[in-house]
Amino acid sequence: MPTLRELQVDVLDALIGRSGRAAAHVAASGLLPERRLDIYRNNLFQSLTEALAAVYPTLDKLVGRGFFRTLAHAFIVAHPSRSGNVHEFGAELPEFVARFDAARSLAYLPDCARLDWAWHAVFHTEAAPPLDAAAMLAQIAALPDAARAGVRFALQPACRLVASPYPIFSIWVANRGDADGAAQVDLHLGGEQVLVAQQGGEVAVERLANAEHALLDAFAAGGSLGEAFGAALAADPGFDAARSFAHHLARGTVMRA
Amino acid sequence: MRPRVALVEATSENCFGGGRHLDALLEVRREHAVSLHGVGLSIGSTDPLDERHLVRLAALVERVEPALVSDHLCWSSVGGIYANDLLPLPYTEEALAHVAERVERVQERLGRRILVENVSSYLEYSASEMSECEFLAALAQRAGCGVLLDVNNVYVSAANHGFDARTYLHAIAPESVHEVHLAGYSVNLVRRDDGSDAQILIDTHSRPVSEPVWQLYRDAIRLLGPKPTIVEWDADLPPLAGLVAEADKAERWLREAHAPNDASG
Repeated sequence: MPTLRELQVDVLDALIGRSGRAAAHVAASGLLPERRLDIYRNNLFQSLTEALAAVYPTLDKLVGRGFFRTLAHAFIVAHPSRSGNVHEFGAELPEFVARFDAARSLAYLPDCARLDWAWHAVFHTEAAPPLDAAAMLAQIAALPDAARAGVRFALQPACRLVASPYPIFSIWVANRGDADGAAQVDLHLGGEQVLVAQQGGEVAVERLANAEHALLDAFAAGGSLGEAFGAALAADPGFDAARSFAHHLARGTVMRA
Repeated sequence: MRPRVALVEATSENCFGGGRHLDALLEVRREHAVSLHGVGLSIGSTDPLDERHLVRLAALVERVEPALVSDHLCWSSVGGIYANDLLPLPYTEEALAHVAERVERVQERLGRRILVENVSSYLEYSASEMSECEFLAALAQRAGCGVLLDVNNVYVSAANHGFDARTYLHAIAPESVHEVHLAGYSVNLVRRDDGSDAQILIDTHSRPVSEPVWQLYRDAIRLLGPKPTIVEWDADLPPLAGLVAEADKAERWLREAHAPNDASG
């Protein structure tokens, strides 16, 4: 008789498709053990594929459900779920797509997938409440110049930045649930940078100008006020970094590190 | 729409990330009792209990102050890999001792009793030493947990494995049952080797509660007494009024169970 652990290892191996030892543990009655295991295997792949399609709606639309199913199947085998919370499943899919032979020709797919994941991650993260921006700005203003430039900020947990050499924001908009499915996006539009954040309890996706992205990206890397402003102005010398910073403080995008 | 329902249940893991799901649940909580129903505890797994999962569940319980907390009599993971499905256990002494100890630790961790729900299943193990209902009854006694009796799952498993659903009802101590679930199922055909088709009932939660399940529910309530009942519907959702209508049907059976011999009722 197998131990409980042996039985569980054999059954899970059978469901992810790696071995046939489980059939011996299943009571044969009416239906072959293999057919009974098939039911569970089909459920596993179907429900995890549906979970991935819900998390990656842009990717799903771009490649079509038939291809998505093939991709999902390979992904589930290569990167099985490691959490009882299914909302944590699928983080590695953008990288997997980048290495997936059949998807090679669609070079924009991985970054589009990253944007989908960013939306999902922001939705399932508890937002830090915005701080008193006016008080923070006053505090900073009261510091000596040298110290002011060195103050560090970070992005709040419930937001993500996604940057790409491809027009991922335009592609995302064109493929949203309520958008016209026939909309085409010209890849020659070039790169786009996106901020995904919570606003009023909803997930907001907005396109950032280069300088604004550089500012936030510097904070995301644990940068100081001076470094972030420097990066923004390097991208666009005419950018009003102070105003953008105040705006993001008030919105709660950035917080003290 | 604010339906007049006694209890609302949410899937615990959906609220782990806070945000809109949790906000909605907290708003519901202002007007209704809430039950937190988990699918990811993997209580029967031979892996260690997932501490991170328990921390998040405990935090949610503290935030929501639910009337009931539950998960399933199943395992869903081993070797760190999750099926994210509710896989049945073999009903052995080894498994009983293991699950009872796990349930005790979860209850200690959460500071409260949990309910363990019977799952619908599509296979049984040759290693099983007792029936599922005997196992569940023994677990409730040994671990001091409650039972969440899913009447649809009893019906589905009974059909799939050829046992008597009513025998199942009789095996569970009435005072151990603290909640009942109802849901719809679908019928699948699976080809046997001899070319004939076997009917398998699948617990899809995407249909109205079927008539035989209403009858089993009526029998369960008469046997066990009135119990808080949740009607589950996870896919192909009807308009809210449709779901409330199902809950109203359960309410009628509950009232009938209070006074089945009341001639004027």
